[in-house]
Amino acid sequence: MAEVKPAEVSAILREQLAGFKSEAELEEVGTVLQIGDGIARIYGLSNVQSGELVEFESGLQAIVLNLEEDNVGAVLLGSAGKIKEGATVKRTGKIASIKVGEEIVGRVINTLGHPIDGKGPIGGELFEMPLERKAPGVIYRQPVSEPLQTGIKAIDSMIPVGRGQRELIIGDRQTGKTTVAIDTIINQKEFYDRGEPVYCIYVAIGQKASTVAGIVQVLEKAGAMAYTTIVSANASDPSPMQFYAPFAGAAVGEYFRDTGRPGLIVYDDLSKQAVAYREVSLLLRRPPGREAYPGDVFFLHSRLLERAAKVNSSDVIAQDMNDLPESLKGKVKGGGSLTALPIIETQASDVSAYIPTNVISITDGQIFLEPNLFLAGVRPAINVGISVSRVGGNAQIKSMKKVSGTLKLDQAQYRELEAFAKFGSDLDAATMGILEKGKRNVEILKQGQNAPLSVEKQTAIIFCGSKGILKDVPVDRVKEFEAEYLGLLAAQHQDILDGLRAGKLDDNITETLEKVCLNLAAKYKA
Amino acid sequence: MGGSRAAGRYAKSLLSLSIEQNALEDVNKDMNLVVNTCKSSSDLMLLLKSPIVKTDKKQAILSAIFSNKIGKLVSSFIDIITQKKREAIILDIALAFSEQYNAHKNITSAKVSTAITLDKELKSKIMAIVKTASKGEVEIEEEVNKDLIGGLIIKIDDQQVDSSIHSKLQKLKREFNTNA
Repeated sequence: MAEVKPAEVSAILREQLAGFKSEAELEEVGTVLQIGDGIARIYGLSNVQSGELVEFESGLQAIVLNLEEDNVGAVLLGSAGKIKEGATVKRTGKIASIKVGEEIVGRVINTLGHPIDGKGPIGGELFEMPLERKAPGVIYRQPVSEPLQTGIKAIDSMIPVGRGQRELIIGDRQTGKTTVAIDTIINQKEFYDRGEPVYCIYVAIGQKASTVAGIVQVLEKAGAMAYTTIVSANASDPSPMQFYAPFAGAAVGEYFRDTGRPGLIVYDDLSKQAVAYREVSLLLRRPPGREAYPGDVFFLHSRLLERAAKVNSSDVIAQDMNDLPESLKGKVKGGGSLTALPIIETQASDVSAYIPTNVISITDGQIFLEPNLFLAGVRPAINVGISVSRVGGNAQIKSMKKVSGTLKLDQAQYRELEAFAKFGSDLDAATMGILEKGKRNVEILKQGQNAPLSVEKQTAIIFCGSKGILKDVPVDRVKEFEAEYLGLLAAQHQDILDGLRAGKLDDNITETLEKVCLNLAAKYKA
Repeated sequence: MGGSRAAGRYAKSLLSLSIEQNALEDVNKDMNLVVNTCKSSSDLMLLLKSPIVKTDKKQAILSAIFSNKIGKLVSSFIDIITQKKREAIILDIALAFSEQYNAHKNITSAKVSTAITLDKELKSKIMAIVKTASKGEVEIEEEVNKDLIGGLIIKIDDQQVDSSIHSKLQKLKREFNTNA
């Protein structure tokens, strides 16, 4: 019979407690004056610094946000539970941070970096990444040069996003903002399969737990969880957790960015984060400003979004980066990037409200989603007229740039003349031409949910649209045509598609595309 | 201890006045009496805080309590406080005064919490330890807290050394929780 020796048991116990320190250390302490609403007022802690983590006797942690003449205001990272007035609070000397490693990919975590998907602790080597960290300085950056393929035709052609860019997705409720972001994440599967993954982080702020579970399921089904991390602060979490969630996401993103890999982070959504921050600020008795937001709500968003960057491709320069966390030193590589897709929900399409104007001014462009387009069946409901990308043009691949060069202008003309369309046959031939082409382009730009398209296929179909060779295809059959045309290209002309992906658009390619398109269009002729 | 800002102001002026009049030690003794009286009688505190009781009534009560026990300076100080309707913060003022008195005299006050009552030998040992950590005189406030189980906590201003069994067990418990 096997026997367990007491000596073995105590050896194991000792091993388990390897890091345990039993000797007393000099601590700096304070006493709780008041606790409630997720806020603690503390007397003492005279040397504490703003942003420092403090700890209660129960192990609950809090972040110091206010340093006042006779007290310190801290936000609790959890429930106040049994903490009473007079309880002792200890300084930790650390700033709030989360542990990030390779195995964080595919997990759902909360703001503190703890997994909440029930798959056990995060394994592998973990690095301590601070929540609040300064953005890389000018020297450590590089202009945006590579494309981030969203897989959405309207975006990749007319509002291209580059790696390291910050592109705002803005629109009313129920206009498909989250869908655009999720589709973009799903589209990165192509790169994951090719062995050059874009690590995605989806930050859900103040959403229903069921919605987050739904998103996880969609991503899992699409095979996208293999390279995605979800940071979730649900509606039921305390507001400090909600407003720190994007910072936790950025900390995860920075791990990939600073180790020389591309990252993509979606903040869904920053208007809820601003509301959570307003709640905390008002409870801390900071003076309210416009729409009762505190004065530093702009800074809150700008310092978050500045952390999205394209890092200089030189390893030597990147290793010198400012504000590098201790844990990451020696691991830094150049050429990484963090692309941010913040989402803002507007009320009744009012983009001149406080938070939308702030975030529009911070980001490098915006994608407007409109409810009337959505209801008219134009999905994704992107208003290409007022959507812009200020830097993405440099990152677009050559073939796509050539093909879509006139698309935005064509569509602008089409919308201008659309009002005349009601007069029907009274129009001259040129106007009719613009209207017909515009209608077909609108059809081409429509796209199903969770069905991102690779860039070469996008280029091929937009080529047909902008050349006007679809005029014989009835508008209601354009989608059908598209499917058949792309199928045909994939089956018979893979070399052409490969060429397009490599950025080539020579005579051979244009001729073949035109030929295939015309042949097929003839079949659809009414 | 914190208290309101006004308490600090009153205490400061009383301190400087008593230094001026060379009556610091007497005033300190009187203020300690005020602290002890206030702390021992919650009824008195409730009365002083009550907005219903008239000022002259409160003044009469206070002078009846303290009349023969305190010096002229402190008794007139209490009169001023009541006239200015600040009698509710009298305890805060007295505490702020003793804090400022200690700072003035360069006295460090340490709070020692233990599970058992300290005997003389232990007390002098602790005193010696605290003295090494501070510059001037040392004053020790004792507290017996059964929850500590064993060991002791020494607290000086914002700094403390916690070597109680209770906190060690707590730490151990948390360590197990995080490892699991």
